[in-house]
Amino acid sequence: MIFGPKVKVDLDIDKESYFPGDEIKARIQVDTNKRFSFNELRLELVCESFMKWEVKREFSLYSRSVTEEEEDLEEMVSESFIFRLVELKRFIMGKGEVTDSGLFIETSIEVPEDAPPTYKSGMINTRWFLKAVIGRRMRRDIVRKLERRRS
Amino acid sequence: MLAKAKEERPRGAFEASYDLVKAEVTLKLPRCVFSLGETIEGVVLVKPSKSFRVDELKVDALHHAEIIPEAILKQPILSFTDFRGSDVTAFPPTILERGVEFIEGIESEFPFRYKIPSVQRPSCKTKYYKANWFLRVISKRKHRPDEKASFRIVVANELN
Repeated sequence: MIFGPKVKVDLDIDKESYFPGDEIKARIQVDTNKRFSFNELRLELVCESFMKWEVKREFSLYSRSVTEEEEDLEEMVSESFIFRLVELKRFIMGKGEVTDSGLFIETSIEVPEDAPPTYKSGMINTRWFLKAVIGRRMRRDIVRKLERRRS
Repeated sequence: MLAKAKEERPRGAFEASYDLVKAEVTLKLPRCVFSLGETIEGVVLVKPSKSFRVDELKVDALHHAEIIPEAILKQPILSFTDFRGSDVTAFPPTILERGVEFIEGIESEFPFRYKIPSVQRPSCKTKYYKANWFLRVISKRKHRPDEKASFRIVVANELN
């Protein structure tokens, strides 16, 4: 049986928090026990917002058994969804190879001027994270995700 | 990611008035943009149109976040009662004075200090939701509902 390489990706950034328009300076260190090739190396900046709300839904007569006493077919139901507010991809390298000695890259990505702030309330939770992605052909991407929290 | 008050936000001293049933309430602040955790120093002016007594005059901060239904629902809602997507938090008040007698036509002034809570809820507006902060002047009277004068302020992580 042939085993793939054991890959460790470290992602580090220059500050704890950023403002819209700032530049995030990132350092990516890739270590492996076995040489491997990749199709692409990129940095992704993502903002996601988890939201929950209640909405009145009308149930169909066919969706459940209804008795004569059970007339109210409307009720408030909880719903939630994760919306992606920002997704930026910064291409760093095309096809390449990581040898036993590893790979170290310094790069940067700019935060958009209209970036929404990190936010946390009962119904809304908006988070930002940075991802270093090593895309490989016919194999699962190697991803290192970094999230900075500030409260 | 932090929120920064933008250049185009209103700058300089803030002054706004609100009409209650028996008085006009004016709020004076050094500016209308504040940072989370900052202590606001301001003045409340009450100009009564009739004489009355309040048991308590206080100032609090209210945070209101609202999900925009049109942006998140595939099917439109038929009335505002069909959707619940707002989050309202009133933070502990500062009491300006207890047992105040207001006399018609005589303006009273109440300086105050209020600390904006250090919560990660800056004022913001996105495609899906908006979040606003209000400073409220509340007059409390026995056996009657409170009267509230609300003034919108902007709260950011940091000021320019």
